[in-house]
Amino acid sequence: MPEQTHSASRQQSSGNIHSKVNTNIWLRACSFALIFVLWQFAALFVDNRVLPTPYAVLQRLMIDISSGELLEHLWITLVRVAFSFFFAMLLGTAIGLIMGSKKRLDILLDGLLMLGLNVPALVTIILCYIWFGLTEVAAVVAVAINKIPMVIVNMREGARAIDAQLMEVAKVYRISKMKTFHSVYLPQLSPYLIASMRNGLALIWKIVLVVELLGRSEGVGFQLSVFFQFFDIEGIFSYTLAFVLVIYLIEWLLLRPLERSLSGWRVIK
Amino acid sequence: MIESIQIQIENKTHRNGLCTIKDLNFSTSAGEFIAIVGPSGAGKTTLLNVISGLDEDIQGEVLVNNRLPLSGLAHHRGFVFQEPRLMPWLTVQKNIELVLDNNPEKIRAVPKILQEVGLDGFGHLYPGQLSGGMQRRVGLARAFIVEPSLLLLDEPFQSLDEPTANDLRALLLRLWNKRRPSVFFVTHQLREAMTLADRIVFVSARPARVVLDYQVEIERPRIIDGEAVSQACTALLNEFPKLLSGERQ
Repeated sequence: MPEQTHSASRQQSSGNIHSKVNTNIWLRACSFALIFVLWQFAALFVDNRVLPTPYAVLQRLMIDISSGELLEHLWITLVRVAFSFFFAMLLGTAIGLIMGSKKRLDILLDGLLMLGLNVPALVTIILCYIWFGLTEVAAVVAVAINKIPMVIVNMREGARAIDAQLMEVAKVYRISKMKTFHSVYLPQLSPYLIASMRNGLALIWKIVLVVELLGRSEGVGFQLSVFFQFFDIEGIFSYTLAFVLVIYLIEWLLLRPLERSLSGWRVIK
Repeated sequence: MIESIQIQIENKTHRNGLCTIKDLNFSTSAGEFIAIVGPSGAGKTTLLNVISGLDEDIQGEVLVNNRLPLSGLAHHRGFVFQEPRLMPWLTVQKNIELVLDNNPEKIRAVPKILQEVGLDGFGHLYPGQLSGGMQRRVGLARAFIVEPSLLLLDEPFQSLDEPTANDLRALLLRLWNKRRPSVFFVTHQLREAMTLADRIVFVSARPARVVLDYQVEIERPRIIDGEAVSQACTALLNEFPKLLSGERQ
């Protein structure tokens, strides 16, 4: 056969990839360590009531965890994040894909989308509480409304980038609607979907905290407001640290593996 | 069963007002290999889209056996595009399985067709890992796995180096000989058409119509840079010097 594969060179380079991954892990560990070193260093020069040392915060975190209080609030907040995230992704993706493929609807809804993108989060939160009462539903709706326009913008871009030539292949070979959707259409959207999810997670948990601060009597946001009133900075640090750790876990245990499984073919070259 | 296909297109005008086909008529019998040759931009790709049923917005008809509209027929068709058009996120194996409707018997036949096109053992690779020639082999395997009674090819071996293109031409003829679908092969290379086809339909510049319906009399197997093909090409061009620009005179 006149054509050649690149398999030989690929095998050769796969060893390099592994060592690269190892270096990357070390680099990441270093960046974490650096944060703690800088923090400790800064704490030496500042009043520790304003900036507690990492050690003090870790100690406080252990106490908060063992009392069970932190886990309870953390759980409630995470459930809110999960619900808002789910609804925002579902609705935003559906609307975004429709807008990206139907020109007229796109123009019709574009003004509304602009409005949604630019109304401050605080305004939607306050209005939701006024209109729907200080309820769980109002809280979740308020967060979702803040995120949906961003998902729409992203997924609309994805729908516009759909390769018509590949869709033609599906048509010529009479591939069923379902199969076309999940084997031809959806894979083209996966980078946009992953980007939406990652941005979404980062944005949503921040907004959930504000929503809790303004109108809920449990959750991490509520606890932070209590700490603020009592000037309990160790508490603020301890809750923040716990939450950031959870977000890291979600990123590493859910998003990254999902990304690898969806776009693994891009890496193998 | 397809015994013959009649193409009778009165007019094909695109949405932007561009008329690409006008009064184009010809017919073909089952298992015939037809090459469609014409200048660039003549509407050859549009013609293939019409024949395949991708484009149904025409005045005129494509009929099977003089009566049934082709688009309504539950026959199998294969399409090989200018670009390989494989799904980059599916392995070679999955790319071919994609066009089969989960029929386990057909799925079991995938390794066999891969072997036939010379890709034995490459089923687990992604298209991005293959060379251009190999990607086109996958394209051919995908077209033939559906056991088409109608096969359409749109300049499939363009942008390949000549030895690779020749290997693929030989492969195409091997697969065609075995299963005998009716073939429409679009190209602008006379020599390629002369090597592959039973008949060559020369079309004019836009809007496309038939300028010459030429029966290739050279005995198979033919060699693309062989004496017989060269002579036939020269003779034809002596008679119709402007044929490749889409003019008879």
